[in-house]
Amino acid sequence: MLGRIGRMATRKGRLAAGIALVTLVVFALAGGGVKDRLSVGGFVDPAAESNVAAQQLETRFGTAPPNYVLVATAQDGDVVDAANTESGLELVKRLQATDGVLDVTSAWTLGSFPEGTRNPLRSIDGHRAVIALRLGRDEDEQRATAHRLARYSGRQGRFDVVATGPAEVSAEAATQAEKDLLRAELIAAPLTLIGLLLVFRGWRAALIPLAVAVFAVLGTFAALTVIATLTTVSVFALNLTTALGLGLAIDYSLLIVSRFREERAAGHEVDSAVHRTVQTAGRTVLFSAATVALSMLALLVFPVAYLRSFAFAGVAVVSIAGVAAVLIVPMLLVRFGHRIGFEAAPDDGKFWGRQARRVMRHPWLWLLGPGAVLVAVGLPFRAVDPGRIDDRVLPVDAPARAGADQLRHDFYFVEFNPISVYTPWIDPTDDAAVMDFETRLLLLPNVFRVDSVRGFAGVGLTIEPTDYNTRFRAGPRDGTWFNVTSSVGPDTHDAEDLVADIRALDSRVMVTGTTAVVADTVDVVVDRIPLALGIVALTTLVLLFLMTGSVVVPVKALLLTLLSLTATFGALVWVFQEGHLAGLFDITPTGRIDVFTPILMFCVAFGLSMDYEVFLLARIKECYDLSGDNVDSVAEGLARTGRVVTAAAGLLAVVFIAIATSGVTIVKMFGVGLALAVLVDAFIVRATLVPAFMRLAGRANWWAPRPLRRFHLRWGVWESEPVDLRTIAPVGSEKEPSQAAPESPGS
Amino acid sequence: MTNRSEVVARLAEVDLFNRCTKGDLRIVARHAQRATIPAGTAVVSQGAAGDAFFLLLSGHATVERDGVAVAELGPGDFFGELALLDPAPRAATVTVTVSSEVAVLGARMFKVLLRELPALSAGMLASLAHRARASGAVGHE
Repeated sequence: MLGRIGRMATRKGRLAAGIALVTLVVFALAGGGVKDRLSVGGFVDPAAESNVAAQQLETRFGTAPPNYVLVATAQDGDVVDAANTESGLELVKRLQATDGVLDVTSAWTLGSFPEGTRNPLRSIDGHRAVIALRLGRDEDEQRATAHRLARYSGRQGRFDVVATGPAEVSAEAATQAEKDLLRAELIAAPLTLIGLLLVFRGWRAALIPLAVAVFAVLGTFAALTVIATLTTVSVFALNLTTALGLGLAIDYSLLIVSRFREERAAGHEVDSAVHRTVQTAGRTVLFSAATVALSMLALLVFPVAYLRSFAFAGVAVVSIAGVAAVLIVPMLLVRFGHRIGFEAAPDDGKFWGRQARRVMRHPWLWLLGPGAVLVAVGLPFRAVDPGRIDDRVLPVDAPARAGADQLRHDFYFVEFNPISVYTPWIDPTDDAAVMDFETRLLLLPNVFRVDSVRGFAGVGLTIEPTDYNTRFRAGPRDGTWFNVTSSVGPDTHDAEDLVADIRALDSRVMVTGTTAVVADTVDVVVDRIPLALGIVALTTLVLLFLMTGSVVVPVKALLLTLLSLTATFGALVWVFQEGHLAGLFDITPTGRIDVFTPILMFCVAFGLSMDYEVFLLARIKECYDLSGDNVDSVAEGLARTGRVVTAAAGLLAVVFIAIATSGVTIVKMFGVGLALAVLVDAFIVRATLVPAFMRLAGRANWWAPRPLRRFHLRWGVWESEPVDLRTIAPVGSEKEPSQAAPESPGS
Repeated sequence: MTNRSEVVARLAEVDLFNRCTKGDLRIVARHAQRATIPAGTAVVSQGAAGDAFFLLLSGHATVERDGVAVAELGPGDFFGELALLDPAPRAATVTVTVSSEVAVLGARMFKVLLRELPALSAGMLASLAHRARASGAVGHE
């Protein structure tokens, strides 16, 4: 097939260009409006108990925890004095009339409070009041409503109003991330272009990866548009698409152009060089793309739309980038190949060849030294504490962050993150049963107060029910629910333990609220990580075996890639979770790390790392098959690919560092982590650990049981060996040698 | 000849492969490229670099060294192995005299198969020994 592609590129260039152009237009038309079809949500498992409980409370009782908060600061006097109350009630009225607002609770509408008790929605000093809103059911509706409510921020009557709460934090984070990514692209684009000009040595060659990237990104947008009609796809899949699309386009183009230059330097004319390039580097690119795409399918094991979206985007962008590289780059090389030049760059390959031999002279030193450094950097990863984001992902001066800080400092913060406990078997009219369960809840550690149909109960405190408590009662068969206010913050392990304790009270109980949702999300993601990693490992091992015919080299590849990623994650935990260098990175550590971001990073970093591994192994194997000399093969493989890998990694690091300038912590972590991952992979793993390991393993690198070796010979993936039958000319004839074109009976 | 089992059948008739199992032949067939060479084509030229091994499946070829015909080749004969086993320029020019079909193994695959298929390397050694004896290069055993 690759032979046919090569021939099509060389003989039917205009037709191929026409098809490519039409395809690009179709991609652009189909994928142009992709953003409007994607969801800003998808962060929870629909089957999680907390989600089911929230739906039950919504359906049966018409209630749910508030997800949008306005903090109103009185310009003068106490928030509950007559003038401020009138102004506050007027504001509440307008909020209730806003489309998408389901429920409004405020300091002025909670009813009266007995002597000695306090209004939880009034600040400790009395100058601030909280208006808690519940916005539409799904995250997309919530975000749209949050945008509509933006006009209530600022001066409102006698108050200065600031918006915060989960829906607002999510909306602000998404808006800020979009702005930051646009700025990052503006920073990275000229730098990347300069880098491409230097690496590809000429503007024509430098445009090749951009052409592939445009195909990959637009093609993926089109694919995501189609997939979004079938299932929920997160809008964040677009970030993965652009990052991975550009990265892979650079990788694949660089590999193909480098091989083309080698073939030209070996004396082949443009057409012949293109033909040979497609059959060698083209096959490597397709194989690498298949490895990465299949690995990314592992993300489908997570029952969370956000992560599954990365699988859709990842598989699409990798596949399209691979196919586009093999179809488009040869076409461009035929068109511009004679102007691209093939003279070797100064010191081309020599540095990396020397480096490989330097490492292989002292392999233990180079294996244990850098290996120990990576292990040490990775150690903090043992203490990783996965959680979810809160307002602290935003910069300190972001409005939602400022509002949340006011809640923390000026209110009894624990009031804003209650745990909702649904007890479908308890009849709300059965006072004894309600009181019994209420007492059991109160006896649990860190329970501050329990609100129920019976009123408000705390340690040594009982308050009769007000109008507020009617929300705990619905139809005769709906049961009742309890609102548990804990004395610990919602993002703490104590709060998570409390959720677990409540669930342990009765197998029929259903718990929801911020803490339960976070705990359920983290649990389901963490529980599935071993399965996902197992699928990635198995896929990688099988595919690398099919490429190399060895069972040792794939294991080595996997271990070294995991070591490099562990070091990266260790560094991220050290900075973003534990807070070291927090000032330098301008972040507010929360003591936890967002559970989703490392998984997204793993996808991109693993994909790029496997690319580099496949490029390197393909050349080492090619040399080893020819010479049977392990040391020469490793040195030659590194010499031939070292420049490609380091150049690609360097270019990508620029892009990722630009992303790391974002003010949103998770975006910053994504950028820092990926920049670190590609640099560690290119400069430490490929330049030191791989040659050191392969030197020590010697011939054992290529070991496999005899049946597997024969299986590989028969069914393995072999880079085509372009025997140049086309140069065999009939004696004494100028006839086109294509008559002698080979027909391979093999695959 | 359109499918691999036919290639396997053709290879089985060649002396070089007479020690090989059917599984060996399937492996060789998987990696061999086939080409039809027009009459009068020099498949390998003396002095050129060698990058492939050729097996004549049908047709006829002559071997010339320094312009002097030194051998005739028919179906089942092979050539091109010397420059791969002992890297040096091609020792002779091989020209097909009628339209001929060849199976071609690139240098890399040729070496891999010799390493991995002992029956093939034994066949190759036997053929080379036979040629050496026939050419008088080996005086005694």
